Amino acid sequence: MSLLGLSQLRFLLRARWSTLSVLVGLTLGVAAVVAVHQIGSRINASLEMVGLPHLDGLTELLDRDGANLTDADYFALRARWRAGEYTDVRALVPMVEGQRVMAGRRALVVGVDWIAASSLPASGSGIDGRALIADGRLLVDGSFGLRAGESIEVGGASFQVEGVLDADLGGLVLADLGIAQTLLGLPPQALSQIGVRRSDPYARASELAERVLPGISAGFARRSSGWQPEGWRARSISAEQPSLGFARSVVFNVGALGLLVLVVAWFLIYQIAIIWHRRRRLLNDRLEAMGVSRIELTRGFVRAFFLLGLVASFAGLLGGVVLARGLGAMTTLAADAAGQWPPITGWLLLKAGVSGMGVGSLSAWMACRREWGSGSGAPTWILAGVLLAVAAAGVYFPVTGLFGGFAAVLALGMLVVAVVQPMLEALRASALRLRGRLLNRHALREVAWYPRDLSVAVGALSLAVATSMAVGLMVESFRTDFAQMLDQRLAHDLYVDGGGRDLADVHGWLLEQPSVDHVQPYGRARHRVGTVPIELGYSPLDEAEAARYGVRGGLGPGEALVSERLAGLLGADVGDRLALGGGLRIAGVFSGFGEAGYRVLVDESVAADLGIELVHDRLSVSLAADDQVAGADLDARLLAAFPGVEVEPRGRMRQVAMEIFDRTFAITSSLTLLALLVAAIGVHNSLVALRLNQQQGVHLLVMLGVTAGELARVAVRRALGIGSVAVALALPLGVLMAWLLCAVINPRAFGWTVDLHLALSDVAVPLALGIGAAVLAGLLPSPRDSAGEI
Amino acid sequence: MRIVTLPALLLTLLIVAPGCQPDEPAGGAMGEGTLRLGAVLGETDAQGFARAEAVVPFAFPGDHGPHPRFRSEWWYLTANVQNEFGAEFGVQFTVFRQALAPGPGPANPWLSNQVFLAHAAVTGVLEQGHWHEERVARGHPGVAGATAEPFRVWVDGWELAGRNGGFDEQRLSVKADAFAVDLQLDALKRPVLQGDRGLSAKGPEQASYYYSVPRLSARGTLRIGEVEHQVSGRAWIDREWSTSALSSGQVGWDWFALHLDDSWEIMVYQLRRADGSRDRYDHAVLIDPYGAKHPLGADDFELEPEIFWQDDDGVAWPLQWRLKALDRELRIRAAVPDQRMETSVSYWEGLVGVFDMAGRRTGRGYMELTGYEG
Amino acid sequence: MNPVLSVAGLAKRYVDGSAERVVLAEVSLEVGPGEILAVCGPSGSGKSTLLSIVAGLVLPDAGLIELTTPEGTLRIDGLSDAARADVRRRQLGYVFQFFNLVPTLTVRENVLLPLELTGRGHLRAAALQRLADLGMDDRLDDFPENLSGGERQRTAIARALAHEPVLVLADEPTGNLDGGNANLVTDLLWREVRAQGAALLLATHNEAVAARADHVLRLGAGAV
Repeated sequence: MSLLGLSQLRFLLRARWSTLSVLVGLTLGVAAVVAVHQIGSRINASLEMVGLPHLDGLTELLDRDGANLTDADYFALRARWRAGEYTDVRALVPMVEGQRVMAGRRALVVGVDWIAASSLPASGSGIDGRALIADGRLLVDGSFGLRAGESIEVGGASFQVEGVLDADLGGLVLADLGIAQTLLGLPPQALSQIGVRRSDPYARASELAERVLPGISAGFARRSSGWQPEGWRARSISAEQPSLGFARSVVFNVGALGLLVLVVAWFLIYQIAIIWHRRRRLLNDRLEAMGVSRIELTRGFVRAFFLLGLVASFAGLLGGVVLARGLGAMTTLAADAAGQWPPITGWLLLKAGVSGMGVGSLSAWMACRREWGSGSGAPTWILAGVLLAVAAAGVYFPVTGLFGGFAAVLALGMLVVAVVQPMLEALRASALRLRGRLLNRHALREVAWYPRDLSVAVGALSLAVATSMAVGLMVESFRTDFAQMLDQRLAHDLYVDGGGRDLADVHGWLLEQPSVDHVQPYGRARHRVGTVPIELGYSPLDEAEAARYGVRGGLGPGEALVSERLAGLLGADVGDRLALGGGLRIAGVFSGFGEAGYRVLVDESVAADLGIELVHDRLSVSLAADDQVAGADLDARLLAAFPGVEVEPRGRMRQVAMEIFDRTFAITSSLTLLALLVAAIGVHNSLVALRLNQQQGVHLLVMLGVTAGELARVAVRRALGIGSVAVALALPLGVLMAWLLCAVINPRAFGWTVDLHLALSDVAVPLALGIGAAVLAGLLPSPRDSAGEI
Repeated sequence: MRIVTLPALLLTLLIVAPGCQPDEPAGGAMGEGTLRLGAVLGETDAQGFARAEAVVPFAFPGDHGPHPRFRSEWWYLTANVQNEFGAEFGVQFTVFRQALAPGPGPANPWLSNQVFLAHAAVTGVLEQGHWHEERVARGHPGVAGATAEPFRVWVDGWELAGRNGGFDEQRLSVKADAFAVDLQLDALKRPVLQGDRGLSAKGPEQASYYYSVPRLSARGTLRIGEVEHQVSGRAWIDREWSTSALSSGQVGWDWFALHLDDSWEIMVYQLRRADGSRDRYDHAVLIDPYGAKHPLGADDFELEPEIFWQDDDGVAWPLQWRLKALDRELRIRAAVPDQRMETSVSYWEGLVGVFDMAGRRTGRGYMELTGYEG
Repeated sequence: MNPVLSVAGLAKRYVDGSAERVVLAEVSLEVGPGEILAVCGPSGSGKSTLLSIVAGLVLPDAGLIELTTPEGTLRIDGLSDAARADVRRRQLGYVFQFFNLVPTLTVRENVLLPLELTGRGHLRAAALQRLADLGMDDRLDDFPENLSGGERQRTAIARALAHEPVLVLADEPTGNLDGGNANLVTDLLWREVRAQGAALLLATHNEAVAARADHVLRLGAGAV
């Protein structure tokens, strides 16, 4: 090792406390990134299980846009492809699809030419349907409760269950193409759609990106299919599986928060690098005088941080794996995901390495640039302008998608960090106006006296506080809207779920019970509005039922209710017509928080007109008002009579829903707290540095007879001042970020808008946390060996 | 000579592939089913299929077409051609037919019990390159099938068909991603019945019906990448159908179909046994310029590998051989080392040159090597 | 006249690993009101240690330190930490070579700080007058970083005397100044201390400064 390197290394070892801060901060940052990656990968893996397996590996579905699709159309298309047209097509797979009631429940029957599908790349969920070729073999999902080897009778013919998919995909039956045609009573010429796999460079890039940054593919606004052979209509596979996009959005949001911790860690390290650089100024000047170039000095400095980054990468990797399990245990998504934690892949190693070593080296390099930079680079107002422009573009252009939304959040955060120093300088300029006790003046002026040593740490604290506030505001606003929705929907006393089974017998039994006042049956079928796959819910939609979705006066004939997510996708509103049946009029838009797919609700008569076989697999029960007590044991009796069904009273439904809600956001809060912790470490480190610089000043105060108690009060006031500056910046930023989350990111990620409720407690708690973090950092004693760090 | 290849290929295709992912839930659920499907293809379930057991007179053109009573069947074509500047190319096109179940199958063609698999490959000697592609399709007439009258075998856009409905004048059209072939083929010699009047024994209980058209003229276009060549040369067609599978103890084989410049042809194969001993079903046939065949037993010829080429996976392929049959002594050498068919099942199939012991070129042909991966 | 400060038999040694270093041995001195005692000696002779012991920042190994104040005579070496801090605050004034001033307080605020700490607000006018007398009246709202070395020391003198201490401790107060400024600052310090009637204990290695003191105590190799 070179002597310069050795000197750097000894510096790291001597500045033990700062070195430890860098390591802890960066380790936490890397751990957050790793944990979020693990959680995201796990959610992705579980998504692949709930994804429709026959769509795996495809990029588009083609149909004839309303006209009947025949196998002659398919063979003609295939011949053109094989003759050299459509050079980017990799596979064409004919399919039939239809619904039919099987084993007492509605099933989506899909027939696939598995031989044509065999050229698709095998991936996580892809099943190999070639075993379904021959005989009457079916593959069914877990919702049927069937076992491999059993047979089912459908329409007088017997079919054999070849295998069972673990996941409940809502009654999916997969078969070979011809078998499905038989099941659905279709002629051999009838096809529903052609699955297409194209070598789409965008898709490949997004698959790759998904492996590096799980959820990233949800980050961009959905692209319509770029391929449209004449006479055909193409639907992209992502549009076909809205729940995949939904969950990826969740993963993306969590990933963005994980990144935030890293950004805060980056500020922390940057701050320490600046302090170290200044502390080494005299030494560096002497080395320069001896002929060592700044490039060499910079390289040595960066190398030291790289080394710390290396250690932090490893520690963060281990910490992240532990953190992922901790966070995963809190959340619904990861906890429900079947299977194992994903292994530590090369991608993850790369990510941890880039996070740790990259952020470490970058911070050191930036510190060198800042301290040695000629004219210190672009002025703050140019940087601020650019950041504002990024934020505005991200908000203004919906095409930037989730990515744009989070870019806006990040840009605003950076803006705050960037303005801390000018703001502290301005505060310092007005320091003379400060009144009150001299020791207090001293304490408060110290906040603004050393902008370079403090500004980045204060900015990071600001950012962490603002994020905590924004997430808190968003979650609480969301919670309020969610609770309102629940109260509206949960209008009945008991809810019965047959898990897909027709509940006609239960319905009849319930009507015989004297305590039962009213039974409302529900059913659902798969359908499409234009190309968009929807869940069509049907029920006798009378006035009372429509009121549950916020619509007064009931529905007229030919009217429907649509979920906000679908209305947003279609750009439709009340009064518009849906491309469904003869063109249903939208009578209302209801919020469907938590719904991954798109939903339309109609009266049963409308569903019957659409040719849907009415099966009711859910019932809600109202008890007679004076019979509440008598009805109290109704659920027990119902369970005894029908052991297979699930019964939940209203209170329990609400409780479960709220629990799921809270668990869903537990991970979010944890990550923001982690960011706050890293920021507090940064502030503490800056304060330690400040105190070291001020040792002579402290000595003077001691000589003047200032007592230890008075000195502690000075420290608290100073920390309060720092906390106040951070909080003053965090307040507008936090509110702005909360608005971005509610009004920009939520609609883009999930298709619903949340009304921002500015509750005092949600604003006050993070502010108090921020000030508390600063005060704690100020009160924590300087480490014993820190004196040696001067 | 693909008797063993066919079941091996389809077994791989239909059984091994789904079983490759035993860890995933869906795959696991499929496991039981695939085992049953395996049983369908196994020896015990050959029940219901016809077997190649006795000599039966071939009747053309009917026997050029498919034999759905037998489980497996293939049409096999190789050609060695040159462009107007003398640059040499090789062409291989093979269609396999496999029945999943005996009998005619249901009326719905999507439920057809026939599966077709095709391999196409082109070798460029000057380019020292080899391009190949595989296609699989079910026996739906819209995408794959075989008929005798008119003669036509087609798999997903690739086709070998009689130009005038018959077998003697054919057209091969193949368009793949990296290459395309369009050849007119005219038989120059009558079909030669292999084995005992067309019944070719491969083991004590394994046999196939097997005939060859040893010499056809080939003329047409061949495109590699964007470059199109006008080519002409000679081709060889093999036809074989059977129900039986590989006999135990045989690990692979080396097979040659050679066109000699003096208008003779040689077909020779040896079955390699696990214990290294000579298989008594090894066989060679020499065909004279008049189309008469001169069969040789295992003891009548010697076939020795001379030079091996090692691929990236460390597999050593014998790419130069010495053949001694009757009064002829020949050296056979691969025109391009890497002519591996990396398809559902991996094997080496490619253009070879034939030389006398003095090193003079005396012919061209095709060589097939299997079972070397161990 | 009773001396303001009386030190007798003072000894201090530092243990550095296994080595023991005697810094002060058998030091005795007395300074009366309006008197100036210069402590001379080369670097490492114990001047600063002596001042620290008198200020109550460091405890001696042996000896007696008595400070006579209007409230009575105090034995500094026998007081608690808090009591010693109180003595420093109320009875002592300081002038150092560097870091005399709190950087975040203006000239005026630095001078008024001892008044705030001692609660002697009635001395405010006198303290500000002293600043004016020292020629600092146009720099009252400047922060120390904007002052010259001489101006800083003048402010330090004003601060040292603002709360009317009985004893002023000065550690190389002119060490950082050029000859002209050094003389000026020395003159001002002498003038103000005598006008105040305080005692001045001055550590210096500058013989010219020492020569102008009423008494000179020479330290060297721990001996008087």
